Amino acid sequence: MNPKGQYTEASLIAGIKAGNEEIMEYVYRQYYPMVAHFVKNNRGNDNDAEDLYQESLLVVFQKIREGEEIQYLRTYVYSVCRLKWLNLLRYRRRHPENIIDNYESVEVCLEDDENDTMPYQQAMQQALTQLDETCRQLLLAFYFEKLSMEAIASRFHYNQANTAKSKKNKCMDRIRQQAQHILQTL
Amino acid sequence: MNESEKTEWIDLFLDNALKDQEKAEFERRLEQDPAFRLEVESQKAVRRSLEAWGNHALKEKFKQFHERMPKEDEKKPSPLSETDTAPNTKVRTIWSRPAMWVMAASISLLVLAGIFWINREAGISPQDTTPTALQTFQIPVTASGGENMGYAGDASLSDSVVVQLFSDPQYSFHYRFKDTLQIFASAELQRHAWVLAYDEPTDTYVLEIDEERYPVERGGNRIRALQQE
Repeated sequence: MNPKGQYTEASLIAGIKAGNEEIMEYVYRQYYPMVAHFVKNNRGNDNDAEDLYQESLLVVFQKIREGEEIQYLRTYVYSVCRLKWLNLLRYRRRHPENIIDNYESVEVCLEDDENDTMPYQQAMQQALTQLDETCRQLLLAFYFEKLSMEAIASRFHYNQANTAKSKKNKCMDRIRQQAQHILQTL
Repeated sequence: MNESEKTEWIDLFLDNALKDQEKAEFERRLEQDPAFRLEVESQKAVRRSLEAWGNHALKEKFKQFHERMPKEDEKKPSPLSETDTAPNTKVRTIWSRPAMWVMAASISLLVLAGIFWINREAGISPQDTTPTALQTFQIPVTASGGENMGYAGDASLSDSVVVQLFSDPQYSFHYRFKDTLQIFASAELQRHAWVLAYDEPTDTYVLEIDEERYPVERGGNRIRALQQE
């Protein structure tokens, strides 16, 4: 924190990258007002603001995890939100018959190329549910949170990073086989 | 490419991180080996579903954050203003009283301790932050066990170790002990009487802070939590 007792944007970004939930919640509270203000001034209501903000933060956090260089977090969050909201408004104007209150379903419509190439989405999620908890958490830590092997070894109480790596690989081997079955039966 | 490295190779390919020649070889194999093609597509599908799972879980977390958020009047800040992470004017008047600072400090220490205890369970990655260095000082190392056993309760002062204090919001109370003992903490630490006790027969160290004893391991690069004995 700086002398005023505030987080620097750099430490916020580092905290998000590390999966620090306290920092994520701080960020959530910090930037929501400006987004809500924008949405409600542009034909949106409270629900719109909440849905849009959450979907946008998912994108922002993903970029951060992927190592994107972000100079001003506040501006970046605002830009992503603004772009998404304007896209949604444009969609609503063009398809007034399709006004859907649940933002998530609209999102699915907007990214329909994703849907066409993933008809097996449900089966895959099912396979993930059936995977044992440790394996799933290991894979999420590596592929979603993008933690280092050292960090993963530490979280799962393995002595060495190599142990974590080989366990992760075994878990991936296991679920990849299941995915092969799913893809072959399409 | 052998079996054990297959997963890594496929990841590198899917991340577009293979060098030109490696990439060409990989693509050649994809063309010629339909079974391998299926494996790569499967790994791609797994990665996508992990992304979806992770995002779904994160969205649930956001919903919890939203519910916990205090409902106040929305500020109308400029999105480009850097100074807007400051508290609003109402709060500032209260914080001008010193008594509030003392109370807030002690409450927030407790809250931080609680939150970081929870966070430790959830996992913290120490890799990507640069903590702020606060102080560097020396503390005595007392050796016990071995030749000094005969002298009643007397430990000879044989050495001292350099301690570096770092401030880092990620760590509530952690250490790394290689040549120097690095302490990482999110709250300000008081240096009363810190002593490092070294037990010769077992080659182990214990950091003694007042009456509290924290075993510490020497060596390695990992940042570990300080836990009372």
